[in-house]
Amino acid sequence: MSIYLPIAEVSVNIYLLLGLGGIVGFLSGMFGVGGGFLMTPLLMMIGIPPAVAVATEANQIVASSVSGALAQYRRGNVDVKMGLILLAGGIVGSVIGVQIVKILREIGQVDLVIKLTYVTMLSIIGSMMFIESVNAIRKSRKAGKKAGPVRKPGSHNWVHGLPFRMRFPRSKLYISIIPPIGVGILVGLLAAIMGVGGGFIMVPAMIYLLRMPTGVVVGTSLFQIGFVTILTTILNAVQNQTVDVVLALILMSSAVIGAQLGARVGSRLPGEQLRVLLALMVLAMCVKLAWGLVATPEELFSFAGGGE
Amino acid sequence: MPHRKKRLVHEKGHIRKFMVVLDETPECETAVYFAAARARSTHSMLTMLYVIEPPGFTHWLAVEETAREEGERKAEALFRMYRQKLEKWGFGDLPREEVVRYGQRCEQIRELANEDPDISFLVLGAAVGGEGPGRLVTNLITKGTKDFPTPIVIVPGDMTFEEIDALA
Repeated sequence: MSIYLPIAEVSVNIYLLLGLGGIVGFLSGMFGVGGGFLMTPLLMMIGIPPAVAVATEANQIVASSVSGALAQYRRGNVDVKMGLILLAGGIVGSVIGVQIVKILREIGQVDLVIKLTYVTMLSIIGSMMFIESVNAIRKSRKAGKKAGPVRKPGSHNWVHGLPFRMRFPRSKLYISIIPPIGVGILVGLLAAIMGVGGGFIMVPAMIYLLRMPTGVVVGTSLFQIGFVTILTTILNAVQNQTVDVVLALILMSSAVIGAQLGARVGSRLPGEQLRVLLALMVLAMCVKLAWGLVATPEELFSFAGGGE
Repeated sequence: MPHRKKRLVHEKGHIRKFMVVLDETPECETAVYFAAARARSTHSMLTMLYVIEPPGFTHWLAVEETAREEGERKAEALFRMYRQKLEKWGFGDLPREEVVRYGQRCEQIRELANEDPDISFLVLGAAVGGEGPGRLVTNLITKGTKDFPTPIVIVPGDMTFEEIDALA
């Protein structure tokens, strides 16, 4: 049974979409990851225009991050003040990102750029995850006890020398607001251009760069991602007309169910091995996308419909 | 049929244990004091548990490692603080043990109580002032006490030490 997606302007089998949403939801529930960087490339592969895939996926992330942020907020795991600073950066990044998409659309290069960013990003993330989890497996086989780098609680880095310092009581920090704003801008850009929440960059940045306590990092990043993806969705819908609500709804409905199941399965399985699988999947998608960019297409001419 | 592991506190070589769960809430202090006072008057042992909860939602193992290290440091600090408090309250010679677990708090509490047949009471402090008795009590009770291996003692968080001394 095919369904016509009004914004994407393609007809897709509805069961394929439901299946994709369910599988990605399942994986994100199982690994505890956002899923944006899995879903967007998959959507591109089944023929959804990249710009639409990105904007629609940002819309889908709104749902998961807002519900996650609320749960964390109730447990007191959100540093609202830090979240607002990150959000301020996120708004700037998101507005710039949507503008970039608009300009790229006008010169007709948006699909290529999105795919290139994805190939770059997926290859970096995939290989880092792969190396990290393989190392972890080897380590646990060898010694049974971890020997990772120990982060000293009071140690300072260059971040602590910057001006415009502000107190963040919840995170027990007194740091310059420049790095959090910078992190926020980067994540906002990613949301607008790639349709990902950006947790995979923001969480390590908050821990290792800003030195926030790990207990508030997840909640605070979800807080920021929730608002940034809302803004990105609205901006993309108004400026670029690339948010396909029908597609987003179909994906959301099956992703919710998948995520619940995935979370249940994930808590029972060994994390390291699963992460190797996830890393391999990410790398496989990266290769597929890259191949699509360099291989000679079967049809040399494509019809770039819609838009104007 | 609930299958509880048989408690062995009256067997030879075993000792009754009062378990408390450490955190940073004020009611935790009340619970520790009650458990210690009760343990002393019944010649029992005090078991202090700290559960390191993993962060949800992360892509990177390194983040989990860092969270775990942070949790271990926090556990160390809490144990040190309560060791000093017990000393100050005059429970310095009370037999006690310190346990650190990694996982969901309620699950780990239940698991430890299941594993150790000497644990005969779980002592919790109830929060006062806010809404409800605090996250720990709420979570443990609302998940149901079916199959829970021991009685659960809930100490009102606003009980003074004199009041506890008078009844423990």
